[in-house]
Amino acid sequence: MELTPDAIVIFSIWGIPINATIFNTWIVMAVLTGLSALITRNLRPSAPPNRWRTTLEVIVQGIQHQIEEITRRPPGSLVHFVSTLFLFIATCNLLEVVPGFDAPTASLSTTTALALSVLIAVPMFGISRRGLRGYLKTYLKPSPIMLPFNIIGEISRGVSLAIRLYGNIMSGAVIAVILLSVAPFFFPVLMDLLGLLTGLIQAYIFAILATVYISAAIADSGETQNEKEQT
Amino acid sequence: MSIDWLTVAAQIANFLVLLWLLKRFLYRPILDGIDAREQEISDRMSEAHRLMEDARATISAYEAKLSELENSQARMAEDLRREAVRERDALIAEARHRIDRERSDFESHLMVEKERFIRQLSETGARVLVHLTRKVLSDLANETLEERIAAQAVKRLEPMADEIRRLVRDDRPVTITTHAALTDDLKRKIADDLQKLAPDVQCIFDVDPNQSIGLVLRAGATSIEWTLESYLSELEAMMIENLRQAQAGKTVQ
Repeated sequence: MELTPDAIVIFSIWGIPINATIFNTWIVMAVLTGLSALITRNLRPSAPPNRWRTTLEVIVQGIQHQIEEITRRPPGSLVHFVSTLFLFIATCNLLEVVPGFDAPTASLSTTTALALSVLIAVPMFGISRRGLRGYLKTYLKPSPIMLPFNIIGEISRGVSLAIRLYGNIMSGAVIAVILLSVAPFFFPVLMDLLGLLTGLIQAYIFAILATVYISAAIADSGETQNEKEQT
Repeated sequence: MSIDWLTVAAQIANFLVLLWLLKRFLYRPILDGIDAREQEISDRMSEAHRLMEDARATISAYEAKLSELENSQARMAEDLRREAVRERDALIAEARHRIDRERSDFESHLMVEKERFIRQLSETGARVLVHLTRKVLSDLANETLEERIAAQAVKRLEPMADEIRRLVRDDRPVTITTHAALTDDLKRKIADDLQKLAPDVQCIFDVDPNQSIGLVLRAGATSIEWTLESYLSELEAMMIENLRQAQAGKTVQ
């Protein structure tokens, strides 16, 4: 039994093996992009609002308000990053119920990649907000002695993000496989239903935690300590 | 559990590509739509606010015009009221003046009528009085009265001497007519007195029962009367003349 889709090689391009994680990720990307293009193809600013447009606007504005509540400032481009994280993870987890589809998020490589993306995004948003010098100063607060601990804290955040998402998704898949062998038919269906719920919750948690980390980086000095204490 | 770093790099690339794709096909159209909607709402609110301000300004202008109109109307009403009062006072004054004038005319006319009535009444009274006197005297008259009148006429012959002489000139006979026959003594005395005034006069005594009591001297077409009728006619003329003179004096006063 393969615990990670990384081990499943679908095909190779110029000698580079394309495993199930990457392939399924492309599928997810295609689905998301296709659906987005389908939904927004007639979505012009001059067109009168319809039911679809209003629903999408409500969802996007809900995400914006959620981010605003956390960061206490206009979300700007942060909404693109966080929404993409949420949609990608949620779509991956929801497609897990499709037979034969291995969720990319069940791969530690994918969750590591997402965690690394968050780890890279945090200083990028922090620097864009405070400048390089101002951002680096945050590692010396409240005193320079805390520099190693702040660095460890930053790294541990990414690690915890990656392990949490990977553990939840992979454990759901593993449990489904085990139950399928023990009691085929009933329990796997039940676990798949629970998997849908936990998948959405994990996507929400990952996106919220990424927002919190980034907001801590872009927050003012007085707010920074509070944000870190909250995490 | 292992990490395939090649897969990690690929997934990071995939994520970035997905980020761009979703931004291109999902976020931008929706956010642009929201921004356009917000801008449209903002524009409409601004337009509504501007229209509201215009409406308020228009309302204020109309209220000012209405107030001015009401003031003008009040002024016009006041002017009209004053004009009406002035016109009414003028009409009342004119009416009073006309009433006073008509009253004065009426009073004058009334006074004239009153005076005319009094005069007529007085004259009528005088005539009635004379008529009654004539009737009483006629009823009470007898030979004695006629003789007394004749005797009185004899006494008055001398003052009328010139008149009698003109009457008896050309030796015309004088006819002396009475209502009843005179006594001989009285006839002789009358004849003597006439002959004293006109020595050659011839006296003829006559009796006319239709004549009023008294004495009438006739010579030709000329005559001199001392009858009761002549006395009363003279009395009536005198009374009416006196009444008219009295009335004229009262009017002058």
